[in-house]
Amino acid sequence: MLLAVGCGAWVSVRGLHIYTLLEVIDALAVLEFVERKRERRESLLPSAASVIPAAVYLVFGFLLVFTYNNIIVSVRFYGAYDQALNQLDARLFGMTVSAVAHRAAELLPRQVFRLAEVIYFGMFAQIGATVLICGFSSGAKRAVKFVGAILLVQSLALTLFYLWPSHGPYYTCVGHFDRLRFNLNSYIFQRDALDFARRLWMHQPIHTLPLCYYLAFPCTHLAQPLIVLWFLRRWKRAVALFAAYDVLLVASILILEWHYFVDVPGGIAIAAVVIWIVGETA
Amino acid sequence: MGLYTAATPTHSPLQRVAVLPALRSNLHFVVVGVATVALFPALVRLHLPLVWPWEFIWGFIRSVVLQSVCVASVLYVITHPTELSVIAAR
Repeated sequence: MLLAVGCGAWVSVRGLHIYTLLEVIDALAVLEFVERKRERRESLLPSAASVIPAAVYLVFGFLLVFTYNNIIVSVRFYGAYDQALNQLDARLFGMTVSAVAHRAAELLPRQVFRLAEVIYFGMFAQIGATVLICGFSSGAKRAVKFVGAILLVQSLALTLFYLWPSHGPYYTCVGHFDRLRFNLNSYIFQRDALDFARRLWMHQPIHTLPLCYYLAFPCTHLAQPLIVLWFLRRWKRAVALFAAYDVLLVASILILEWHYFVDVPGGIAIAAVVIWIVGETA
Repeated sequence: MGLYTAATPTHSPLQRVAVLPALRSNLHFVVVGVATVALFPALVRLHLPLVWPWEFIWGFIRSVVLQSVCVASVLYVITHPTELSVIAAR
């Protein structure tokens, strides 16, 4: 009763917003978790200890990944292989990502693009949820192993980015920012990424390391969810749900012009390599 | 007999085979370790500051944590539907 009153008050204060819904669900989940621990007379410390090391490792690892993005862009021209990837797309698939995305923008309503953006950024929740599930169901070691696999994906991708730097279809798209029909956060991030990449490549002074992700090939935005599927493979329903989400994720990645078509098989390939590396023990 | 025992290898082939999976499963520690050690010289050489935008990072972490707890809870209920009646009854 108290909880219902609390949730109602929270919704009235914050208004009906997606984050209010998230906060209410989270509050319910945390209270239920604490209540069950209390009923079983178990301490909360072991549960915290099964998740916190992996979470800290993930944050530290991603800081490294973003920093190395900046380092690579400072020494290698970020768009050196973009034209080649765009031409490869045209040759293999008979079309380019930019052509498809701008055609979709003409045909589809703004809400579809907004949903695509929510799906695109929602990928990070898959990683966070998998850390929680692995930690609570199998212990800290497995959660750390999952984060390790994600970081291996990133390190392989950064190595390929160093060898064949490519930025994304929005770089090769002629007049990309003038042709946009909708205002989306993705486009702000793309504009910022291009701006920072240019500044870093020209060695202009910067005061803060930007948290930008410059690489297109291979698509880590797909490789990471594939690692998630591998680690959750015992949870059949979760895998089915995430697999369906990932199909929409690929479509979102493409219509928002984050990656080339060929980045997708590239992402699948590095996920396969990482699964081969950690597979037997994961 | 004593001479034959002394010539026998101290580690069996089985032990040697087990080293490879252990190396593979801990490879990420090696990669992250090497990347961490190499980070500072690289930043100094390129005149890049070791200053991260912490305000943005905390905001991002908060948002991802909120979403992750929500997704994990929903997944738990989907994979254990009988738990929903227990939660509802409470």
